[in-house]
This record gives sequence, C-alpha cells and structure tokens, in this order.
Amino acid sequence: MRLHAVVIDTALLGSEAWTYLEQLCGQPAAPAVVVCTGPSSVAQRVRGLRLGADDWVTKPCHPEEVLARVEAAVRRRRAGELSAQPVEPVVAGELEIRPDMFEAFVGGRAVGLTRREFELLHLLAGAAQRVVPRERVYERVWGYAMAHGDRSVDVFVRKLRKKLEVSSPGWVYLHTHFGVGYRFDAQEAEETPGEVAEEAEG
Amino acid sequence: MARFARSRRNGLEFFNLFDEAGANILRAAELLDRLLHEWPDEEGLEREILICEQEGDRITHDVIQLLNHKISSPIDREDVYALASALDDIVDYTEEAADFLGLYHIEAPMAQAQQLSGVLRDACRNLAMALSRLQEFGDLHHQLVEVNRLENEGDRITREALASLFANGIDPMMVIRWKDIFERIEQAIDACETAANILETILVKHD
Repeated sequence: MRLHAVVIDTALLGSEAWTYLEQLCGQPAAPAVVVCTGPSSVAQRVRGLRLGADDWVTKPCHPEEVLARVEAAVRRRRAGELSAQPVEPVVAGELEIRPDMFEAFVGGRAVGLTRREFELLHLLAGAAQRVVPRERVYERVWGYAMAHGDRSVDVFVRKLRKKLEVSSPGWVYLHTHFGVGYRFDAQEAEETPGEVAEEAEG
Repeated sequence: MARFARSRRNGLEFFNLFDEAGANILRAAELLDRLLHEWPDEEGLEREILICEQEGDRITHDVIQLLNHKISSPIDREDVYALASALDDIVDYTEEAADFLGLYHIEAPMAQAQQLSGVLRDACRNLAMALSRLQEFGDLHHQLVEVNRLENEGDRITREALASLFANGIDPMMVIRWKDIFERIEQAIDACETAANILETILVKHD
C-alpha cells in the first residue's frame, strides 16, 4: 500500500511543524500534503505552500471540504506524474515496450508483465544503457526510500528476467553491476555468457 | 529391581520425546531459513513449517501426559514442563514468522531476516545436539554457551534491522510488516536461550 496524501495540523505539531513539513515535502515521491489548521497569517500560509504543501485549509471547516481538497491534490499529483512519463514505445532487440499499455511485446505477443515489473523495465530501458543504482530503482518504482537489506529490486529483476527469457530466449536485456545496480541493454544471448542469474546485491 | 527398570523405562520415554523435540525445532528452523532465502518462489515450505508446529504441539502434549501419568521422572517435573514449553515456543514463533510472509503479502525478503533465520537455525542445531545427549547428563557446556552467544548475535542483528526500518522515507507499511517478522524470529531465538538455561539448570541439579 502506498500513502497518497497526508493531512497535517501545524498547530498540533508545535515548534517542529515547519521542519516536519519541509522534510515530508522533500521526500522522494512525497505524498500530497494538505495543511488543515486554525487561523494563520498570510506569511504562514505562503511559507507552508512554498515548502511544498499542496493546499491550505483554515479551521473551522467542513470535513467534506477537506476530503474534496485532498482528492483534488491527489488528482493533480497523478496528472503531473502521468504527463512526466514518456509514452512513446521503446524498441530494443526483439522487445517493444509500450508505456501506453503498461506491457512489453515480442513479435506482437505480450510478455505478461505485472504493473511493477513493467515500471521496473520501463525505468531501466529509459536510462539509455546507464547503470541505475538499486536504491534509485526502488525510489522510482516503489515510491519510497529503500531500506538497507531490502531485496525487492533483486527479486523483481529476477522475475522480469525469467519472463524476458521465456519470451525472447535469444536476447539478454538486463545486466547486473554487482554491488551497484542494473543496466538495460539488448544484446544477443551468446555475447553475454554468465550474466543472467546474478543479482546486484553486494 | 523391577522398580528401577520401570524408572529407567520412564526416563527413556522423556529423553526420547526431548530428542524428537530437538529434531523438530531444527527442522522448523531450517525450513524457515530456506523459506526466507527462496521467498517468494518457495514451494510448500510454509505448509511444512505448519506441520512442524503441529508436531511440536503433539510432543508437548505427550510430555505433559507422561508427567501426569508417571510416578517418577528422571528430571524435576517443573524442569520437564518448562523445557517442553520453551521448545514448543521456538516452533510456535518460527511458524508465526513464516505465516506472516504470506499474510502480509511480503514481496521480497530482507537480508537481515535471512541473517536472523541463520542464527535461529544454528541455535536450534546446538539445542538439538544437547537434547540428543541429555540422558547421558554429560558435558553440554559447549552447545549451551554457543546458544547464548547466538542469542546475543540475534539481538544485535534485530537492533540493526529495526534501525534500518526507521530511516527517513521508508514505506510505513514495510515498517509494520517487517517489524513483526523480525520480532517473531528474535522471540524464537530468545526461546532457544530459555531452553538452554533450563538444560543448564537440569545438569547442575543432576551433578
């Protein structure tokens, strides 16, 4: 489950409110933040919004209005995320990655990716053959910072490799950079022996 | 003479049951270790651990039945009961940790959980060895000290694992899920130490 929105009351948070707001809004893939608090000055509201809050509601207010403002903030976030992602297909080797369909195809046949597997493939393919560190992959695909010791990226790369091997057995697409991360580069299988099963965890 | 033979026979029944319990905790711990290394591609390991948990309940029940129906016991009755309970706790916590992986829809293992399950497996291996030699009332010092050392190691790994969960920006759901799993494995390791301490007490009383 991913946290999509947070409602905070700066009065309840006391003297730490501004630091908390700054940290919350500064996080990678931060949730939508709506401040709902008592009477405030223009300077306070401007400060809150400039720190990254998506909206500011003054109490007393109706719960329905707060809910509607939260929903609107989440909608704006989603629209922003979608427009930031390229929708053009990426073609590499036998693989065609179609962001508009959240799927990859080989010879017109779907590979059968889950949403997360697709996002992982799309991210790596979009990095133009550069190595993407595991922490960066997690941050972009899962939307949170990666906990030390978390093997999620390695497990999902393994799953993705298995599916790609079945759909496109003559090609290797995902390359391990031990202790760092992964790189996408379509290469014919015989050119890259021994690379297939490795994981980046060091 | 007949009374002595009966007492010895009763004793053998207790020792055989503890030997069985030792093999059972070791099997459960080895399965959990495999489960955490193979997750999410495991095949039926959770089910096998559940069977160990049921086997643990059966052994504990048999030990208590034996205590209730036999006049003499080669070990003090309260020590028999405490040891059986501690061994049962090990398998119960092991099974709970395994169950949480599926229940919480864990996507991938954490390295610290794999380290902890390795510590639990080693502690159970030492306990199983000590239990298989209990009827000799010999020197089990090495095994019991090793269990205590492993418990300290488990504490250290758990503290570091929890600290990694509370770093900035971690998914709060991940914190909730993994905190529970780390704590269950740690409780299983703590129960190993409890069992080792009871064995120590039994040996001291027998000297």
